[in-house]
Amino acid sequence: MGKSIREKINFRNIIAIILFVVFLIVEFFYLNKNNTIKVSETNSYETSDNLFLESREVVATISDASISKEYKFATVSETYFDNTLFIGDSRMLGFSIYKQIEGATYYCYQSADAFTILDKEYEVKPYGMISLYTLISLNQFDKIYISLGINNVGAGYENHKKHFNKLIDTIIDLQPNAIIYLLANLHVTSELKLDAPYLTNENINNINKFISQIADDKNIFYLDPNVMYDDEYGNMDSELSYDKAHIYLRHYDRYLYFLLTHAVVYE
Amino acid sequence: MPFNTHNFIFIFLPFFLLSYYLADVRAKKVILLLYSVLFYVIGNYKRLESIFILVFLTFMNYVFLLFIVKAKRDIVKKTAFIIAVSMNIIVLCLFKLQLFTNFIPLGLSFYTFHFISIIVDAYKNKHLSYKLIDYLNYILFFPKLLSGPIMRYDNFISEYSQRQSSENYVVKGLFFFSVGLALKCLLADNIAYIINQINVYGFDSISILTAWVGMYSYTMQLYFDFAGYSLMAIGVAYAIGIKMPDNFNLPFCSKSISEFWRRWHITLGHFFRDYIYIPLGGNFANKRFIRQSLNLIIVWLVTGFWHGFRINYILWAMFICIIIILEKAFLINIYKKHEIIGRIVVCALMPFSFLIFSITNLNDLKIYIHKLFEFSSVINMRDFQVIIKNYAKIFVIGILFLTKYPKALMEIVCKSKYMMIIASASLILISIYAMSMMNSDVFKYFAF
Repeated sequence: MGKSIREKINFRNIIAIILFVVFLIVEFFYLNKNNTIKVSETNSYETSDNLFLESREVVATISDASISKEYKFATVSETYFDNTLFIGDSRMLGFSIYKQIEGATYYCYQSADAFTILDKEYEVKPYGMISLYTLISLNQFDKIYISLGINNVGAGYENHKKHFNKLIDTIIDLQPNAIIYLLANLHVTSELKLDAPYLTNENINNINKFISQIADDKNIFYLDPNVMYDDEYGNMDSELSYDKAHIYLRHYDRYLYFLLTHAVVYE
Repeated sequence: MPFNTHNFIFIFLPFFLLSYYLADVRAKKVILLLYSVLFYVIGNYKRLESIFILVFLTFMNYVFLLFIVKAKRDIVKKTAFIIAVSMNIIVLCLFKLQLFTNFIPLGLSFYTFHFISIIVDAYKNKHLSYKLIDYLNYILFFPKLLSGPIMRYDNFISEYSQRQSSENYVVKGLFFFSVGLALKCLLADNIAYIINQINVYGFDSISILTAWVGMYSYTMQLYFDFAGYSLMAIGVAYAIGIKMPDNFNLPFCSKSISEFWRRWHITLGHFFRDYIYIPLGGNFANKRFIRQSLNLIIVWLVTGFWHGFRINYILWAMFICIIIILEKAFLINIYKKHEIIGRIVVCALMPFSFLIFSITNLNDLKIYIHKLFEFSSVINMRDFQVIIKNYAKIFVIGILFLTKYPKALMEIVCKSKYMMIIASASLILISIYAMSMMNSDVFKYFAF
């Protein structure tokens, strides 16, 4: 007697082959899906992921790249920073590592942003674990430098503006006599957009633009240290950074020089 | 396709295991081959040159293999052997030297060694079956294709023919895989942040303590990354009943540098020992120390070049070689009397050697080494304070995982199937979460 159909056809093998074919189809769709994220010429980030939809509001082409205002500044020595508070994210943290200026207080940490910085507690010498709100409630500073914004690229333009304004209003309320310096967010190198498509200098410039509009030139001043680091295209010089976003510590000498030569002194 | 991706964990591996276990004995070989081929193609479809090189070398080596096995005249065998080995070495060197391109086909360093191994063993008349499907499965066996462990053909055939399939193997294999994945995602990738932070600061701006933390971080990142990957490979193979050789065996518990290199990247060490050191004469019965030292220098030069044609790899290799020669000369006698000295040498000099290995720019290396001994930098240690605040926990956990205790814990878990299942599920879930956090939130990764 010949073999039965069951003996001739190994159903297990057929199922294994079917599984293999299904695998090929699944793999095809998976790889195809991962390749559909595009970055258009205006750097808007097109994707079905809702996380990034709001960031498209941040994107705009700026016809006028010049957003800094003209001031007459004085050149001062480091004693100018006595009783000064530096607030910021990792870029300001880098500055604090480079130089602990005598008499200055640093409230800066990685991932700091306008949304949470008032309430989050952080170790600050010589106060210990303290929130920014408590720090500025209990102490009066002569000058306050603020460098924030880049950690909120992608958070939604209006939302960011709202929180940043709230932060500045709180500082003004609690520090009525302080000169407030709003520092532009440093640019990133042109290569960074390959790793982080929405972290572009156009988006950073948008944030810097609304920060500059808060300045009143009486007690609140806007400073743009990007002049110390940019190449001719308005990107951070790629020689100055390892990760395309933070400058090497040794290049904070330029940051310090910029602050020392852009000081407001009331007569 | 790396093992630590969603694609591999959720799509490739489940489909592969299901297909493999459904297929009957004869079809299993075909299924394994199909998935191995796809594994490489999926990982390299954007770089077709990689696929072409692998196909070309696989085909050519098989042709030469058949000549070696079937030829009746010794001159034909020898010619085929010389051409085959030379071809593999030349292709490897051409890509390592980066004469025509900066690109190196994925897995080239490892699969060329598999080709050389099978060719040499066939030439030595190891009477084995060289059926096409067995040969292809050996070369393309996806768990070891990209980064080893380096496995001999006879070992592979023996394991494959004697393999057993049962749920115990699947459970244990997936447990090994999950531990490897955790080593890579939870330890190596997090310790990499410390290295990244130090690079962001710039080597010329770090204080002495940061430099030392960085040196140990480079070592741990290298170890957990590679050991984790090897364990994942071993786990996947074990899940289908194939036992691949261990690649790491608690190297930081060694009592000498020589012993360290018998516990670190074990299969590479065995390859160089069996195919270069021993044919050169090996240890020469302890009487011809100069010849033995020369053999060691040759082997370590080859090791350095295998990693890349860069001066830092050669410096690294020679640094280790000199220590090993000194140990053979007299240091080992000192270690025998005072074991602690040997352990201190391992814990101090091996991380230093990995610094030389990791920092490819010689000027940066010089600056970094200077920073290790710049005692005046204790005045401003703000960078160290930031590093400790952000990364102390992962650093300490990393140090703990260099000891023998995690492995002992693993062995305890292996005694119970249910403990393995719970541990595997937990480790895979946590690792996947860590992978997702790293991939989806660019800002967390850059940590502005």
